[in-house]
Amino acid sequence: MDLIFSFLGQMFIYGLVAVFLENSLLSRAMGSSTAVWLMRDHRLLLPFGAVLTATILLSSIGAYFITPWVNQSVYSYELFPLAYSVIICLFYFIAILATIKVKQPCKQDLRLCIHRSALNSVVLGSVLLSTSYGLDLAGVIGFGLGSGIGYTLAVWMLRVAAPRLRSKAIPKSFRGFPAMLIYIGVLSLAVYGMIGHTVAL
Amino acid sequence: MLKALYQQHRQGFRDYDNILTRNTVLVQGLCIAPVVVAATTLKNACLLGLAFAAITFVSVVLLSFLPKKTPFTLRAIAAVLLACGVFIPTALWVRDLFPGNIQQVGIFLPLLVTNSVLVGKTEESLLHLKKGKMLLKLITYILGFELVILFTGLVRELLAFNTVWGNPVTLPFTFSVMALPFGGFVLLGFLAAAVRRYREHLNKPGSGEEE
Repeated sequence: MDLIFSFLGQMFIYGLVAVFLENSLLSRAMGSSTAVWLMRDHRLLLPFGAVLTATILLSSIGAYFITPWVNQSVYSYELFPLAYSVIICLFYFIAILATIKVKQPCKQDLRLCIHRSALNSVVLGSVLLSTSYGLDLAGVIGFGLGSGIGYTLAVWMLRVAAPRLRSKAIPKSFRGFPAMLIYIGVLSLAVYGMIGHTVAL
Repeated sequence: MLKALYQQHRQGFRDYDNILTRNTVLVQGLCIAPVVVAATTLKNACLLGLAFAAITFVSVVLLSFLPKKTPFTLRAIAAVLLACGVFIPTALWVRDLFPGNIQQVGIFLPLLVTNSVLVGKTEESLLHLKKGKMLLKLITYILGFELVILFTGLVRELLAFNTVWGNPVTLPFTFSVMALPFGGFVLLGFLAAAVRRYREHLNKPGSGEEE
């Protein structure tokens, strides 16, 4: 029983770290272009977040098991992206196959979400981070879940602010995208305040 | 003069000018992460810029040889895996060119294999064009990214560390917050606003001779 609680506790802590302290979008700007796309088509935010979180979680677990093998090579740094991308692409392919029986128009939206979320720097970035930190399985699961949820929360915060960032009170040249970049910058400074030091690259 | 040229060839600029008026990063919002987080010095920016150019150019050219009937899903997978293949020699090459800087750019070098020009724009616009036009557009995408990352790296290094390419420069202040993602986002925001302002100026009626 203690073992289960310890596992869940560790998972929860790493999940919180990934959501708040090491947020994919606010700390590392990963998936910024996808965030811009999601702000334009925000009805897809929740399904996108769910697919993204599942992809990161499954890929991180897969990566956890193959990392020791890749680490044996002298060229492990060069091989990691290929090894992890094979896992991510495998899940991407399986997810696309799983949508064959889904009816239109849900099918099109779901496939779009799968495509945009799986082949995204957030997924590969989170997998690379969780393995480079040398986390155990509980940490990998927690960090994977937290990365997906944290990214979705960050995009949701941007979506809430979007109408204000496009308002006429903002100078025309800054309206929309430039204001959004500055807004993410301010949010990232708040995250930096919580960490108290620069993020490890 | 540029204004007159722009007004005469608006469609051409819209299609192929990914360097200034439709800049890859500042207008289209692609490949923001390496610019914001890892391009804190000119050397890091050069490293990422070279790696981005090599990975994106070679991968897109190789992808263009795939049969057009290949399903979208397989093309997307091929794009990422090809980029990972190209990443291996590229990483070894930039490691030789910039020893020590690989550590500083961290995960942002391997993350270039899923950059949004390669994963998004290739399928969306590049692969539908004829080879010559595709290459021209691809080169403008790459140049647009290079311009922004080099400029950002230079400004941030100068302000945050008072150095250029590692050589000390005397400035009366140090603005160390520029080395944080906050600095990157804010600088990009101001640059994006400047480009938009310039585009508005180009769009205004008038020959531009009097400007």
